[in-house]
Order: sequence, then structure tokens, then C-alpha cells
Amino acid sequence: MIAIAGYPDEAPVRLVTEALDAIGAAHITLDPHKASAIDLDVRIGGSGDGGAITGRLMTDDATIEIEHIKGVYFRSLGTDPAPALARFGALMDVLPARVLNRPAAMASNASKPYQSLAARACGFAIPETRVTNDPLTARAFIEAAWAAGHDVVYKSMSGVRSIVQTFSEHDWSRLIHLGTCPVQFQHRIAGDDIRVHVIGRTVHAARIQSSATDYRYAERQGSEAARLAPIDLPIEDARRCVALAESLDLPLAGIDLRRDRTGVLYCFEANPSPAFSYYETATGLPIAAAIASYLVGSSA
Amino acid sequence: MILFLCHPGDAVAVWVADGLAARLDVPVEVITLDAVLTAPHVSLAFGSTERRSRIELADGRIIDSGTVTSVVNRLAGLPDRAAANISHDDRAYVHEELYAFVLAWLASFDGATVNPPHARALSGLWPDPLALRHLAARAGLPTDAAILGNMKRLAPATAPAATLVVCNGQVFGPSIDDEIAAAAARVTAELGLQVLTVVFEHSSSGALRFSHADPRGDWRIGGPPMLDSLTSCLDRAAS
Repeated sequence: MIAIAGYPDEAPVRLVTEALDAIGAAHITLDPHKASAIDLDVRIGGSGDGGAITGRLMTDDATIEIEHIKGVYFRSLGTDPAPALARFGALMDVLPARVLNRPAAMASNASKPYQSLAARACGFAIPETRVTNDPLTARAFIEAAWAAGHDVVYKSMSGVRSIVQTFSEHDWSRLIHLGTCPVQFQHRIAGDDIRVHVIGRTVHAARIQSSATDYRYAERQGSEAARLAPIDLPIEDARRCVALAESLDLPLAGIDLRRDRTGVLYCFEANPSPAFSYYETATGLPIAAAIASYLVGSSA
Repeated sequence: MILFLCHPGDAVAVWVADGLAARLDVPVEVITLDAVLTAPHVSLAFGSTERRSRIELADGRIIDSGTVTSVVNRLAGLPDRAAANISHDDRAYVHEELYAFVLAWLASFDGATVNPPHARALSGLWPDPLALRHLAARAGLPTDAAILGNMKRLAPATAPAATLVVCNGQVFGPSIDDEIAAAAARVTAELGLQVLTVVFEHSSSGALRFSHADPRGDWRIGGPPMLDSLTSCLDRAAS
């Protein structure tokens, strides 16, 4: 039995549901819209029974034993989840099942520089970066970057979604506000974006071509819509992606890369709850099928 | 230099830092997170060839990652006051950004960190009673079964029956059953920590029962032998 936590009409949840149906895998959906119909009783065993987890999960159309859950696609519990869903979320960190992903592991997304250092440890190139609250340090970094022919972008460090912006002459006067909070400045790496979805040890890669600073907002930033195509990733790069996902304890990860004009592959971040449907729809990559296969234990 | 990170008023940190300073040939600098968060000059630099941080504190002290041989972490989390002077609209965002910065800064040191942070908690241990109780039961600490939802938040017992300090795989504190001591060491290792206080309470039958664990508990319970163990841990990391 596979459990899916999320809104059934949200594209990633819908695609995973369809993929599980396609392979005939039984599943149960915890729809936050129907939270009042969901209940969960869980007993955590004591030391006498090795902390065994038993219990029962009930929705409006099914009741299953907790120990029968072999995989979980953990997409969303909604904002301010109902008590039963909150208990389900807490259970995800300890349930002996294939969970995509466990909440504790997803926390690494709270710090992009922290993830960058993990990527660096896995052998990826990472852009030259300064995090500072000092206007003079920021100015020196930006001027040195410009002198070397690099644009500089600034973006949030945390998991708060932000639009990556290119630093321009108009921004100098804003540096005075840095004292409030350190800000992350980074060399802009010119090249093609590559989004890699790691599912266990399966890797699916797509190339994204766009002239925008942040391709997700290409049209808003006055550029043409991004163009996506599936690509084969060199084996070493694929291994690095798997290693990064494993080091972050994320069996499912959407890793953002960019290959520069000289062929160097830079890593930006690993998204622990990737909205993969955008990439699957645009490229035909079988990401949902890989997720389903992982959840039922058919793939490593 | 050994960087000893703690919060203001942490008497345990002062005791441990003094003990380490007396045992080691390198200076031990006790720095509070508040001092880091109010530092006038903060710079974290990293890229494919560089990983370095430099923080100039308001009192003139400088934390340069190039001179830090190891870190001892007794941080609990980001204090709410960290973004207190920020306008209400931006306060939550700034709090998230500061947390992201501190987490990355802690990961920027080359040397070993005693109790490295976890992405979910600067202390390295997130206060999730379910995960901790499950881990304790699996490791063999005497633990009662619990119903999720009725589980009390694991918090300091009003009258703990016993408190152990695990350091560097060794267990310090009152004499206790060898199997329980070994289980406490297993829990510490599973959490990826080097130092952990493990607290027990009495069950209704008078037997010891796991109560809670805290990486920031009272390490003084371990006395000088615990300091010797921590010294050896830091010595090994530096060599």
C-alpha cells in the first residue's frame, strides 16, 4: 500500500497517482481538503518490542494498517494541518517505509548556502558567493566580479521563495540596508540550466534554455518562455547528483544545475519537494513513473 | 582556536570552556550567538576553490574560519529577538534568512564540530518527541509504549531519577546498568552527536525509564573525566 499526502488535483500528486494506477499499485490519498474524514491511530512500541510502529489510518473510503504502508509520497499536508494529518506528518520521520521525503531531511532547503556546501563536498562546482552584512565587502565582491566579466545576482538564502535578481548600477544605493541582515551575492553563471530529478538512484535530466536570470519567471522578466528538452547526463554528473541527494537524505530531489560555456557544471540547490510536473509535461521524462516504481520498491 | 558557541547565561558552557582551556594548548573563545547576530562585519565566502568565513564582533574579537581548529556547539536555536528590530512585515523573512546564514556558517569550518547542527535544528537534535522516543526504544533504552497524539512533549522531568552524559562514546554520571549506558551511547551516535545528556525518570514500579535527551543539558554531571574525554575528542580532531 502506498500513501499519498497532498491535494489530488495538484499536478505532481495527480501524476504520481496515475503512475501508481498504471502499475496496479494500491494507494490511499490523504487529501487535506477532506481532513475531517481522516483519522490516524498510532502506537509507538516501547523498548520491549523495539519501538515497533503499529496503528490504523482511516480516510472516507478506506482503512489500512500502518504497517502495511510500504511507501509514501509526502507532498503536502496543507497549511495549518488538521490534527490527524499533523500526526501523519510526525510519523513520516520514523515510519519504516520508503518516504519521499522525510520532513527532517526536507529541512536542508532552509539554507541554500548550506546546500551549496553539501554540493561542493560532492564534487560539484558552485558559484563564487559572498554572504555579508557589510556594504564595503559586498561592493568589493561585485566590483571584482564585474572586472572579471561576471554579472552578480542576489537571492534569498532561506527556503522562502524569491526571484533571483541581477545586481545593477541602480542597486548600489541599496547596499546601505545590508546591516539589517546578511545577503547572498553570487557570480551569475552564464549557460544552460539543467534540472535533474533524482529518484532513489534513478536520474532524469532536462535542459532549460532561457535568457532570463530566473527561467521560472522568464516572461515576467521580459524574456521569451523557457525551452525545455530531455538530455542524457554524463555518468559522473549523474553520480554526483545521486551522491548529493543521498548526502541530504533526500531520495527524491530536484537538483538545479547550470553548465557554463566551458563545460563546468555548477550546482545551485536541491529541492526536496520538486514540482516535477512542469518538467515532465514539457519533456516527457517519466518522473512520476520513476517515483511510483521507487515507492513500490521496484527500483533502488 | 576552539570556538565555543552558546547562548548568554550558559553556565555549563563557561565551566566546560574553562576546563578545556586548562587542558589544551589552544585558546578557547566562548562566543554567544547574539554576538554573532549583532556583529558589524559578517562575511561568508565560498566557491569552487574557497570556503572561508570572517566575523568581526562588536567587542573587537574576530572569528576567522582559518584560525578555528574545532567548534563546540551548545546552540539551541535562533533567538526570537534576532529579528526583533525588523518591521513586522519583514520579521519572519529576516528570521528565516538569519537561520539560513547561521546554518551555513556552522558548516563552513574545516575542523571538527562537536555536536554539528542538523538542518532542522542548530543544536543537532530537533525536539520531536516521537522521533526521539522511537530512536530510544530501538536503541534499547528502557522506554514505554506511547500513543501518538497523547504523547507528552519530552521535557525536563521535574525530578529526574538519573542523568547520564555521553561524550565521545563514553558514558559519565551515576553508576547505571551497562546495557542502558551502551544504549545511551548508541542513541548519541545515531543522532550524529558527540555529547548528549540522557535523562531518566522512575516508572510507577520504580524502574528507570527514558525521559528525554538534550545536547545542551548539564555536561557538568560528567565532571573532570568528561572534560578529559572531550579534550581527547578535540585533540584527535585537530591532529
